[in-house]
Amino acid sequence: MDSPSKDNTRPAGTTVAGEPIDAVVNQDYKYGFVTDLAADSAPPGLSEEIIRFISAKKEEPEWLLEWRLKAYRHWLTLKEPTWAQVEYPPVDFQDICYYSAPKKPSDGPKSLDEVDPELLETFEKLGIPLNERAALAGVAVDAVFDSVSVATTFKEKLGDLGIIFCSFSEAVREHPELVRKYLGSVVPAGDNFYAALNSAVFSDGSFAYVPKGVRCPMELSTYFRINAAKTGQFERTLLIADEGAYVSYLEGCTAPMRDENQLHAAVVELVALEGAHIKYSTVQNWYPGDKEGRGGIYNFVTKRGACRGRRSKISWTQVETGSAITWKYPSCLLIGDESVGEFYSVAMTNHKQQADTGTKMVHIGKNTRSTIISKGISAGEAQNAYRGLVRVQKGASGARNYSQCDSLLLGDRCGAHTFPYLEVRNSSAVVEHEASTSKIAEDQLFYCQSRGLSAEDAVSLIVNGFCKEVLRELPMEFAVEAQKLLGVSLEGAVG
Amino acid sequence: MKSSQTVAPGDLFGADLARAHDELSAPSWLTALRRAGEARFRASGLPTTAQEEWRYTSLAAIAKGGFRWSGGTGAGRDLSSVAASALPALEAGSMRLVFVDGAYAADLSTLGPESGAGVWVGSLAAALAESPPWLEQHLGRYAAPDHSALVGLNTAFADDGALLHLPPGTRLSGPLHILFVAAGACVAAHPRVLICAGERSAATVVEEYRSAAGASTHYNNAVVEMSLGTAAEITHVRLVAENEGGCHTAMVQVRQGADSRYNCHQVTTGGALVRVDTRVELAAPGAECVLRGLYALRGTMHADHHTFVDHASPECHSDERFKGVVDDAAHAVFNGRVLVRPDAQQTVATQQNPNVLLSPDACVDTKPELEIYADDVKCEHGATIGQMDPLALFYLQSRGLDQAAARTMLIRGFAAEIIDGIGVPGLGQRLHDELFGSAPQPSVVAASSGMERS
Repeated sequence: MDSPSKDNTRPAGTTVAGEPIDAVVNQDYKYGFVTDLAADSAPPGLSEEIIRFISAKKEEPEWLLEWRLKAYRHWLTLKEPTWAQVEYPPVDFQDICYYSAPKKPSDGPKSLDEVDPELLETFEKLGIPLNERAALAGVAVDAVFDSVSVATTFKEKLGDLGIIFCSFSEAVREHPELVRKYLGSVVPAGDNFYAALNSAVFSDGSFAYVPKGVRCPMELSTYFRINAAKTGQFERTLLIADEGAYVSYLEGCTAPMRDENQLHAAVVELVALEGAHIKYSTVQNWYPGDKEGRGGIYNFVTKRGACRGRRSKISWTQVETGSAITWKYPSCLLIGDESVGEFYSVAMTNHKQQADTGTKMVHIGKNTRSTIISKGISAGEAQNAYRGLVRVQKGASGARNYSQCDSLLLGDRCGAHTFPYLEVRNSSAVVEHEASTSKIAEDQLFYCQSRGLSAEDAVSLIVNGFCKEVLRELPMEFAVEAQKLLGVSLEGAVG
Repeated sequence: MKSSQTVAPGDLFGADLARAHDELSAPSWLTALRRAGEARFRASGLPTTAQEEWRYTSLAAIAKGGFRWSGGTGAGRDLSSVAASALPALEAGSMRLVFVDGAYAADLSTLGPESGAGVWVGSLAAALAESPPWLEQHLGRYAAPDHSALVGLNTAFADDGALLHLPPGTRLSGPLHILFVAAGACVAAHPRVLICAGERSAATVVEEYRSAAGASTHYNNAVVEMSLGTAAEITHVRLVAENEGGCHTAMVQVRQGADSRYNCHQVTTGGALVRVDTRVELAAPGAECVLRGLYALRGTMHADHHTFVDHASPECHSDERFKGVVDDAAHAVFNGRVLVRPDAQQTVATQQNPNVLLSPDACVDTKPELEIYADDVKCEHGATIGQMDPLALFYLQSRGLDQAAARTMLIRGFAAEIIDGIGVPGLGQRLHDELFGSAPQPSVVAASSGMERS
């Protein structure tokens, strides 16, 4: 009650849920939330003021600011979800910095000599090309190879075909009509706790639009990413494939990403119109924390694709080896008749990692089909859960689903869990689910070792075979690295 | 069915709970149990669809049903509507305990020579009069009153029920038939069954729920507790075939000792709203449980079967298979959870849930869950939802059967795996007849309009 500015900085009814008004007021006062456009970063904490600051920093139009604010106001009414099979200390959302300008190249290491040798060793094992290692380790990119020219070359090539591929901020500036039309149309601003948080404060991300009938000639990938490499922890991706278009998008990379942000809450929205096909591949290897489970990223992601048109198809492939906590359910809304949804996943957890991941396939159109292949590998003291929903709506006659969820256990202190939900409202549907859990058979290991493989190589071989169905869905160069990645992630898992 | 309910917790059954509180007399340990149960139910009321365990099953019909407790064993009952000859029976001469609206009906029951030879068979009310030492030891121990709201509710009214106590090494020569008949209108009964099987003992128990002819709506909230000693073997058949006004909730809680074997066969064919929770704890090494289930639903029936197999010890086996046939606008729910606790190595657990949908308005929600914290295990589960194979139908029709007969034959074949596996003489045939008619010509299932779908 001592702050003269309190009434001006905060519209009525926007106090943070559960927090005494006084504390919030004092906090505002303490940091003096003045919109300073010259500042590089905002003070920690979340309020409407911060959202206005982010929006102003990014020179966003009024409608987008309103959209963010609406999401924020809804977020205040939501509770953090607790149903997942994961345990972690509560996240203090007022202790997070929601905006910081991209780092200057001069802040990073000057050359590979300054980089952590352990990191370099991992690159070696993964077989990452020399020129990319520096970039991945955070060495100023232009010191190594000219990314700008590479990017420009690709951008011109894509531009010739009418494909738009740019950062989200750029898309807001250059193609507001597309962004406005599709933003939040698959994952609404208030969809869930983390999606609402992302909608309120998203920093940047990627945007791609493939026009009618165009087949994107290259894999849109983060390797040759056109937008800034550091898109921050609240990434937002929006991909639209117009009628008859095809696009394959790669996200993440196999190299371990060192990141000081603990909480990642990304949102990915895919829209496939009639006859379009989107292939979305992810390799996630965020820092998983040390062997004792200290540190590590919390990865709370909302990914959803809508097959809007007839005969459209969305295919998710993911290899999840990183993060301390993974909470991620790439989903497909099969709205168009004869549309197809696919989900291929490998989730590997070691030490004290926890993963609760899976998919949702919602069959709405007629003769829709979906396939779910999920492979979970648990080692050390890790917990790995598959959680999936297959829902066949009343009108979805002729729907077909096949799900297979297998788990492999390495070590007697880890856990593997399966929670599939099958909801069928149409009698012509055929839905099948099967799951198995076991450890690597001793005789398989013994055989491999009798042929001269070390115990570690034998396990790696068997694990790769176990995951083969998923790995072969990955684009070629990713698949090779993902295989090596599984081997590296398993290190220390075999006694 | 995901509507939220507007039942004020504590109000429901409030008057009856107060009455039971005042009227029922018992030894102090039982009174304490009842009080704990009452407190548990009053604290939360009926579960709602907001709870994950109940997301597909709304108990609004029970909340709105106006069901009233019919009083303790002392209360007078009109048994004229229940004729002994009309009650379903097992083989001639088998022991039968009959309960009408929850209270033991001695006139309708038959007790065999076993009772008295160390084996104790009879009603809870009779046991309380005798007060054998094992009663206090076991009653309310496996399904504790604070276990859940519905178990609490049952315990608050615990006054009568069926008891079977098998000393070590004893076995029942024939099946024990425990029959719960609902006869009154708008009556809520809280049947209780307690089975204590000592070391190396064995028995077959058929627990059956029926509505008397002319009975209207009613509610049974059953609790079944079972303890199997080392190397004991219990075969438990559970039949729920109430009328279209019957609501049924049940908790079957089993604890298995080392090398014991529990065979459970559940067949649900009638009732407006049925929810059965079966929880088996494999508490010592070498225990084995086999769960078999069949739900054949018609009309607007809603049946929800939850099973929970808790592998708390190494070297235990569980094998579960629940099959569903869902017709008309019926709604079937299955939730099978298998938990393998840390160090429960050498576990083998399988679970299957195939469902057949026969009508466009039928629906199924199934959720097979595996939760595994040990590595040297073999666990698998499968669930399928589909229709009858059109090729098989076509084949049968090409052999001269009409469509209805062909369909019934296929459904009968689908259900036979469970029914024929029951192993109680005569019971399988009776179930077949009830479901599909005694003649080769089908009646019950085929009579529904859903069968005429192209």
